[in-house]
Amino acid sequence: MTTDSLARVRVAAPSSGSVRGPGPRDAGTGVQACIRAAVWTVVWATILRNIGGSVGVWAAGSLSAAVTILVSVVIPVWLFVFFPSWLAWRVAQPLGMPVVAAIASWMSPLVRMRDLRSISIFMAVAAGRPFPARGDLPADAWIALAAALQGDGGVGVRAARIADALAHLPAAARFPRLARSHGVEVLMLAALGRRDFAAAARWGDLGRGRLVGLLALIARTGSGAAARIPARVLWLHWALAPARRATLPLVRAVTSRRSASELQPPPAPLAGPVSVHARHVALIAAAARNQPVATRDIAALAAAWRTGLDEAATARLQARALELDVRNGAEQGRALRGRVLDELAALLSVSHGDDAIATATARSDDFDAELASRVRQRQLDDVRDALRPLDPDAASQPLEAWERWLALRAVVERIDQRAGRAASAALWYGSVRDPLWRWSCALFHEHGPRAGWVAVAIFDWVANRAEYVGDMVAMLASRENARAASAIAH
Amino acid sequence: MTDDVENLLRAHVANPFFVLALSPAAPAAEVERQAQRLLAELAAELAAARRYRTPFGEHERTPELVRSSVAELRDPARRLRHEWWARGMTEPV
Repeated sequence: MTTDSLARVRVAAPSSGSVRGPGPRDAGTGVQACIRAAVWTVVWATILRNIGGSVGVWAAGSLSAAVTILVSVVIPVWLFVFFPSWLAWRVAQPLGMPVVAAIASWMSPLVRMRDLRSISIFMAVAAGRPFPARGDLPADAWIALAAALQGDGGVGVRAARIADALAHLPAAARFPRLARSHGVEVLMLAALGRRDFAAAARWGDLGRGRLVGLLALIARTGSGAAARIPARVLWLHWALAPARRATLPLVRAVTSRRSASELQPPPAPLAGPVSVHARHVALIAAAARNQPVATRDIAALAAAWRTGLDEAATARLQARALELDVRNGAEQGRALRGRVLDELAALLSVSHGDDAIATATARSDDFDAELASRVRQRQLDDVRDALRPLDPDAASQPLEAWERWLALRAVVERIDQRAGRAASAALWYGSVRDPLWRWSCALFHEHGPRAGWVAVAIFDWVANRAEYVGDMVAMLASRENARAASAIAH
Repeated sequence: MTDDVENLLRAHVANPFFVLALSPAAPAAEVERQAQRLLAELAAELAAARRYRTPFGEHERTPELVRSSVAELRDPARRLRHEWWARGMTEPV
């Protein structure tokens, strides 16, 4: 693709040469925002007048200056700014009152008009109701959190991918403060309810607030990652955090479990020596259950298979082949070896962690060289599979498109970690750049502001990728596209 | 990608020796006998026959799975491969 043809798909340079102005839908939202501000003014002015009037008459000038400021300034400000979101998230949402929660969110100045629908959807998913049809859903941080909560309850590979994407959002893509506190709290509580401390800690890195801090401490204590957090610190955080009734069992569980483990010696490992076959299938079972599988474990498994498939093992297999009257015993041995290598490559494609595979595949024997070759082929297949859904001619909703991009992002970044910059550059120019660019521009042109949040994240990532591989044309155009998408989205 | 590993797991837990609850060393005649017995039990809707155990948990056993398992073990080359996996997963190191 030439520079000219790339320019034709740039968001920032459509045929008119200027960024489109806000459409009728934006005007409607503006009117609604004005009505909302007017209602706030009337309601809070009435309340303030009544407070001031009744307290003033009752006190008859006997209040001190501090109490007067408290009654006339501090309490009204708290009522106006914080009370509605407190009512929505600490009362209405836990008690299953969606209408009250929606009204309280509407009255909260901490909630932007455009977030109201997304918050209602998140609350509905948190309350166990099904995720709505994706037809006209907006795509933003609230909806992304709802998508992570849906299904696996904030744990698993999909949720981990969404958490990672939210942790690396560009500055122009909003992640509202309430989503970082109340949204992340819900996901952390769901993960802790499933005793997935690693997932809870991952969400905790994204969150803000006292309750998130407490839940992060519980996750660190539960996973054993923390170096002896004293029980009194946990209890102090619990006392200072909201939702104490909901978190009391969690704090009790981690403190009592730790007390028990401090009093007793660590249990001896129960499992005896496990065969390489059993380890192999156990790792496949873990990956199939969406549990994180460490790359170093697969590298260790590959090392074990080198012995498990050595000449002695092959000789035993061929002897058994003769007993069973199988004529091509050697070929059967090669077929089994090929299947093992394919399955190791499949496991590596879903594994997490450092680049231990680079050291595992850099040795010179046939097994490692063949595994490295299959891993490379698998990575190319994964990129091809991740690119296939990115069809600029096929309609896809912004959230769905974002998740497809997340899959591609995960594959490409994995190749970065393992294959290095040269391989990434070859892949970028050879198969990723043009289809991804066309698709992301088509997505934004089709959905406009509704896909703004998604488009900012995608264009920013494309720009960073382009910069990494030295593609200055794509980098500059994508930075401009991200800026234009951000302007239109806001 | 997770679908791929799910398929791999499904293939491993559907090893015919697990489905038929037989040792990897079981002779061909015993394989046939066991398959007939399990099919009869499944036809009689015996609860114990509906599940089979693997080192990775219990799974549902159906008449189709029993038939396909015994067909796999009738082919010596396929039996050799299933036997290699089943022996590796079940026998002590």
